[in-house]
Amino acid sequence: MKYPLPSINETKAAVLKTSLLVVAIFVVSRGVVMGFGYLGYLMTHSTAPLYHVFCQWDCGWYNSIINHGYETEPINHRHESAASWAFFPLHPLTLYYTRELLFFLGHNSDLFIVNGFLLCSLLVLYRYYKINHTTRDALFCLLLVAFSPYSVYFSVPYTESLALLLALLVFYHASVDQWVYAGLFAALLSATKVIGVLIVFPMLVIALRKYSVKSLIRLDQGTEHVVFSLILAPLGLFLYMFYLYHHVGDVFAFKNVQVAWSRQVGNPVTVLLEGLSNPFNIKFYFALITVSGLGLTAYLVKRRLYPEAILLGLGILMPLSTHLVSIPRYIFGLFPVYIAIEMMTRDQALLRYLVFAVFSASSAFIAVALTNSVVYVN
Amino acid sequence: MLISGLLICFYVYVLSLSLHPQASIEHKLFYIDQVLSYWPKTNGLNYQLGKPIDFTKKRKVVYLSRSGWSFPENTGRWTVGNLASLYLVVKDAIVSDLTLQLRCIPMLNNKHPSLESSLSVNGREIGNVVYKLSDQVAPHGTYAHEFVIPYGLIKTSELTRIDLRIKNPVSPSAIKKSKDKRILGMMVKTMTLKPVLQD
Repeated sequence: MKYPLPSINETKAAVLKTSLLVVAIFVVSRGVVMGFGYLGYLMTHSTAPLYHVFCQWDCGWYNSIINHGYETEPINHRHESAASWAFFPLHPLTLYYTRELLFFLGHNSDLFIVNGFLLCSLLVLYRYYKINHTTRDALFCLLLVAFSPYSVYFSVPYTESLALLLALLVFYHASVDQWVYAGLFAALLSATKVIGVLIVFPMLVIALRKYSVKSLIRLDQGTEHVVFSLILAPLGLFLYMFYLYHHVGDVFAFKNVQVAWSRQVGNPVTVLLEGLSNPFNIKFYFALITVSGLGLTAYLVKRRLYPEAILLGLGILMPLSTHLVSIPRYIFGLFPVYIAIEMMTRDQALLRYLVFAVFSASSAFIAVALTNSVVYVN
Repeated sequence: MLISGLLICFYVYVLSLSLHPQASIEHKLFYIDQVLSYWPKTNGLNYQLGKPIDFTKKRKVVYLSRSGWSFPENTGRWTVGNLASLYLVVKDAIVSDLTLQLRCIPMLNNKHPSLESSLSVNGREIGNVVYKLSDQVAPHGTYAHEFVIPYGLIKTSELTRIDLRIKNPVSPSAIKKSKDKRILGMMVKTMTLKPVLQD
């Protein structure tokens, strides 16, 4: 089966022009974000290789998986009970094979591949958004992603850029009725991060826009691929669970190990209110971002963009049920955020300039914070 | 359709595996049931008969349940609330009754002159004690008790659960002993399991 290239009604010249524009946005944004990250690195007076400065926190876990595989029991971590099972396998597998392939780059091949994923994400987002929107709006949406406050995480060895790309590919292919591809990418996404499996819900909503519940249940002609893709979507997660059972003896080890970080599933509202209760705590900032994210979700619902709203809403509520830490990174890793902001600022040039200025300044600041190991930006 | 069916069968099979985890006792208790305070490491719950479990000097006692115990202190560890448990695996061969020796300081003063507690092993009560202020004889109010555990109640290499139940815990602030608001029962100093015949 030949992989269908995304196609839109544009001439070859126009496609080339916009593609070059997308590449330019990518190059400039990476120049700014990684440049500021490098400045931050210089500020640390560190003698460590640059890669190590960009490889903070969770990146260390991925390196451990790449170098030693998954642990059978926790070892050598300051949280004595923490283990690598919490980290899904597709991202470290990708890094592992990239290192094998681009051995001459050493660990820097990680930076190469995650930035490659980001570039692909921008190209797919453009194609996806162009289905129903103007070139101008699609490009602004791209700018928001490229200069997102947390966009440095798209360029360091975290799962963010891979997850962004896969989520976009699922939405794109589902929207253009290429359901088998949508299912395949969803399966990959479910092997990338824990919230990846939730993509099945937006897929279902996209399917229900095109087909009735009855026709899906009866497997009417044309719906077989839809049903198959929905069933295929969680395969990555289940394969990982199967692996964990044989490796650790616990199918849900990826979830159960959260206890090591004192994360217990609870009421997201309680977690949010607790964060909002103390304005002098960093959790207050996390909670404000969360409220903004929920506001954007509501806006997407109002605009009847239900699949995007579901992805964003579930992507917020799932981590929020345990904690507020890292929530800004999770939220800015979900593309519906940018769609919502693009739509909210449409036809308001001044507001767009303002949003872009705030975003790009924040992205530079957070890049510096990351390379200085400021844990609040994790 | 065949592939879809196979996938669904695979998902059901994987989920069914969660009913029978093949992990160590320690993994089950810490990660799956989440009843332990600390990760004891694999085989970390193994207990050698006769060796005292020392709760003093801020030690991390790996046998402790997640709830029911306060933070470690130099002098021992307070039980909090009505139930504090320990989980351990006796590896020695058991050929007779066992005794459980407990050294503790109950939360007592004039406003709270008695504390009722009981001790269960694997769900079976093996004794109860009423600590009274008037009976306090040892220095710093330390009490020592021995409980007999009938032969067969603890099995070699099987998980043993010891429950300390406190009927009337109280906060020191409520009885004007200090400003401490924790609901405390007794401060456990040491606990030892040993065969009855062992001196």
